[in-house]
Amino acid sequence: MKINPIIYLVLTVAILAGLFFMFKPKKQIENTPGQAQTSTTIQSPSPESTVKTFELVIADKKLVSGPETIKITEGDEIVIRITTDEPEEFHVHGYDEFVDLEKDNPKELKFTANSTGRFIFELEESKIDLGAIEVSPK
Amino acid sequence: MKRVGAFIAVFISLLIFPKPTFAHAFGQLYNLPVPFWLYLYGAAAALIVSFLIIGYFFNQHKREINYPKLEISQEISGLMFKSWFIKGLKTISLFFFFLTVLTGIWGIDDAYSNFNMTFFWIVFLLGFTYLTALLGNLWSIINPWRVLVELGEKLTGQQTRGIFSYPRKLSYWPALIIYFLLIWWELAGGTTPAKLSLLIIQYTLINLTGAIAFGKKNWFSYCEFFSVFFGLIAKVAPVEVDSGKIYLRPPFVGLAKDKTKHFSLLVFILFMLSSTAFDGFSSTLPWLRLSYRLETVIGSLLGENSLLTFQVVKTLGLAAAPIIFLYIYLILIAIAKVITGTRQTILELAREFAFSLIPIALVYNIAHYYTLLLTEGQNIIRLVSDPFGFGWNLFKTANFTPNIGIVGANFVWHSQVLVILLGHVVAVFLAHLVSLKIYPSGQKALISQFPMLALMVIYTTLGLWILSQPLTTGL
Repeated sequence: MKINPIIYLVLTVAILAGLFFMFKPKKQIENTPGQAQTSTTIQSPSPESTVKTFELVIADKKLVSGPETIKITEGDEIVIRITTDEPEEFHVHGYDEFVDLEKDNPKELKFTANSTGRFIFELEESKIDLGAIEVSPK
Repeated sequence: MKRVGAFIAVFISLLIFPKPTFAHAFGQLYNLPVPFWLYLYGAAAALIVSFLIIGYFFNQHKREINYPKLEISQEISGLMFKSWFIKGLKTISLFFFFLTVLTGIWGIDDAYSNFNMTFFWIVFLLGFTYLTALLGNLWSIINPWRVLVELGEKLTGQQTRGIFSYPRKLSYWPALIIYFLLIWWELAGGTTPAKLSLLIIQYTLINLTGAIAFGKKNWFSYCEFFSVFFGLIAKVAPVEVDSGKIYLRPPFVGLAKDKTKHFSLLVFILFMLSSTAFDGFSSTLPWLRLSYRLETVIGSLLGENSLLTFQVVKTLGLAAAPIIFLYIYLILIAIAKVITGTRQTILELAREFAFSLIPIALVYNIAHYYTLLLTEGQNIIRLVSDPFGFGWNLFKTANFTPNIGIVGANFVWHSQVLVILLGHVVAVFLAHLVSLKIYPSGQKALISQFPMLALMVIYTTLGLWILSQPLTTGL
């Protein structure tokens, strides 16, 4: 019995589409941020996005305090306060944000995370990766 | 005498292999891990669609693979074959070849400010691969090393027919060795413009020596890595050239027409799969845990040198990956042999199905790397205006800033899963066409498909799993 290929194709696509909607999670009404320790959420004037602050402490070219993976949502304003034990330059890839770091003088890096993705941050001069910012889609 | 001198020169140049560094990789992917539910969907869909394909073939006994071919208009194909057009393409290729080498030697030694890194790793290695998949084996015309050999032939008036005959046993192994070195370099090695230029110069010497030694035809068929690589990728293209005419054809049918007689080419194809898989895997948390344990063991043998230990472990991983993929492949082929009772050997069967893996290798590559072409690839716009990093602005694009949000995470995730599923479907289809050709009865062909189905599902699920794993910078 020869099966009509067009009907077969339509059937296949229908099954795969149906399966997709079965697997796809229902949309959440409240978006729960996963960050535990050091993030604080402040309502900013714009209702859609929030400001998220993170504290990083770097010693001996390593992250000794603060999240290695910073998780935020698209559109969030992010503030990173960095304390270090030696002068260096903090760089966020992709966004190409830089801030000069001074010994024992905390510096802040502020920007709005409008692009989704995973962006590694590093000590620019030593070329050492410290962690990454993961911006999830809304 | 001149030839002996050339061989010695190549040998010495190989000893100055540039030292790899601990520097973080050029060409960063901004991809997020694929959400777990989407990965599960991909795996389930792969499984289900495989059974649907087998169901479709249930009562079909077609042995010949006929496909529609559409001839391209005479004007266009006439142009493609004009000698000035071909010479023009070769000249452009040589131009970019020399630009890549010279910018590394004389230009700024910063990976992001020099033309050559972005051009070689992204525009060429990714962009040209995808172009080949669309348009066919352009490389056979524009291969700069081949063009250089042809130039040499013109200038000296001598043909490179080779001094030695190519030893059959060598097969495609030289190309595979070079492939390994290239990927090793990308993963564990140095990432600066100067080192890249040095490697290209060394590779040029190897190619010139090899072509003189074994002849242009054999060298570029079996040993020159890019020729072998693009030759395989080109088989998926919907373009075919036959007796001076250019045709359009359905994509991937080129893989059903041919098969390989060489075990080494099968391993080469498996390395295409495994090197992409390992590259992706090496950024994940599971690898971090595994490599940490391996580094502890190896470190106790090699002493405190953490850089060396790190590189040894990465090298072992890269070398082990194709072996693991091969092992899985051979086991399932062996099962197919047993349940069909065929008289063909495991190795013969392994070679028959080798090309059906190429779609999976291609979609592994696309799913893993295509966003790199879209994000980092944008940098070529500013780099063409200032290729050496001297502060030029030839085309007024030197201050172009790439848009990293060009594709959002949702689009990337869904496209990765979709493209891997498509590759899976094509692979299962092709494996079935192969089995219809080689098994005497339709029933045996059908039975043989279950282990092949299992193989494709394993590879596809593994590819998706790697994409879904949490990522780490490795600290």
